[in-house]
Amino acid sequence: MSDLSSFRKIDSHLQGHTRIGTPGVEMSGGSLGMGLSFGIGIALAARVDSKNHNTYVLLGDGECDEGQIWEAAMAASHYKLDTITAIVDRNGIQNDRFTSEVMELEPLAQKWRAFGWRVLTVNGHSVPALYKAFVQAKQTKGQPTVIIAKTIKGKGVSFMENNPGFHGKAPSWGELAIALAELGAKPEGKDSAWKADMLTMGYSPERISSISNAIVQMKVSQT
Amino acid sequence: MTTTATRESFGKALLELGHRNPDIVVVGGDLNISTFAHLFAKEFPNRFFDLGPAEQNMMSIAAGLAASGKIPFVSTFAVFGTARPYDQIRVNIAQMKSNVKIVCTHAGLLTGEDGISAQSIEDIALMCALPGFNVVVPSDGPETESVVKLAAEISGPFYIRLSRPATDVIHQTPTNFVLGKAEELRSGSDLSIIACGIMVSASLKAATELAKEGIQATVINMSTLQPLDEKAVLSALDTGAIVTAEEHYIHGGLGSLIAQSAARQGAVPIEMVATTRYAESGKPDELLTKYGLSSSDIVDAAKRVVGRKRD
Repeated sequence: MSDLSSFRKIDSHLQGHTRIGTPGVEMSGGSLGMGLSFGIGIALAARVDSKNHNTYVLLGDGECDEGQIWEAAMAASHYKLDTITAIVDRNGIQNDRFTSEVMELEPLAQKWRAFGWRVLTVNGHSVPALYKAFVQAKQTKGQPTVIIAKTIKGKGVSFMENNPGFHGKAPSWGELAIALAELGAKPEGKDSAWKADMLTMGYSPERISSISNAIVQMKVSQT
Repeated sequence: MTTTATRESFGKALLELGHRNPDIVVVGGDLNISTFAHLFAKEFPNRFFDLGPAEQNMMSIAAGLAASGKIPFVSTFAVFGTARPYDQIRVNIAQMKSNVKIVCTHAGLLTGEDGISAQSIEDIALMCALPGFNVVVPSDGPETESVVKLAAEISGPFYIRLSRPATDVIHQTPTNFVLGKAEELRSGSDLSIIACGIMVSASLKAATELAKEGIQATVINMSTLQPLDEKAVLSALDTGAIVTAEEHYIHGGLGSLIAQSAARQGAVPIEMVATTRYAESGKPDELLTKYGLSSSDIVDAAKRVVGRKRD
């Protein structure tokens, strides 16, 4: 956990995008669209070695704009890779804007079906629903499965929910304090820093004071 | 001089490797008869994956295979195996140091009648711009065989550049290829001709012509472009002049690499034989002549560079 503060800083193994060298990371990424193909390579190697392990690949929905995703989708069904399960995080937001504004993906399920995949559409915030889908995916024979997990980006934080502005942006200190309060955790750092920040964000002194009180109570209850 | 196609030597070496090592797998893209990967495919159908003309997918899949302990050989044409899936090669193979061997046939002007979209004159520059990538341009069939076999034994990314037509055979038997080690084929004190690929044979012919006029040339086969044999460049400086010869664009290829190395280690006049523009459809020999890549172009460059020598 202590390594987290070195994220994206010089000499850290925690890079701006995943890279080999971080413990547990077996693939370098960062450019969109490569993961599904890489997973196919792992699944094909398992087939050559008569191993029966499963390969899971998590995809962003905006990532599905990349042509390579569909090259890979075609190859996975051509080789009948039923050991592959892809999960598309369907939150409807990509870097600049909503996916529907940048590049329409719908009908997404039909696209995957047309490429020979079994498609399961589930509530991505429901653990039981996801579990059921993973079980079904594992039981599927002769074709790969994609789980389209419908999610709300930034869920649980009022000002982040479904807001494209937070796709790749870190919150300010003030925003962090609010977000943590809403999620039931306590913010770190000096109170004065986030209070000043919240003022510049346009929050009224009364609102800041009530958030501050909530946080103080949290601190008390946690000690 | 006998001739053989380097792509055919590759196909045979690959087949032999397949028998020897069960971890060798091959990834192709609908050009497997042309690249001779079909020899392997026929013998080992379970270790061969045709992915169609979808080269981005092909490169990332190869990286995935390598991550699982396989030794994937990716085989396609030079334009499709370098420029087209460059970011996949960059991120999934170069940055990951994946044990993937990219063997591309149909490189350079020798691709001939297919025209400029198919004539890869940029691939050496592209592949040498990737840190840690081993880049080899074998001079003939026997050397190709040695390079392919060695690539399977050395962990890490390889790019091996081959040609379409039959080309001159310089080595009578498979060579004792050492990665990053240049091969001196002829010794002379007036200048050094450093070449790679098909231009090695042209350089030997040029050296014979030059000798008739009293100019003695050393000829060096620089088949490994990355890591470059800096010591060989240093000893070439002793002859006081260098000509480079390659079937590639003049920027970013052998000439650029040698000039960079020579500038770091000393300074001698250098002339470069390379293409300076996109070509056109035509027979390989016609193209080599029209675009300045014949042995007589090497002779002319040698005379120019010797004339520039300071005594």
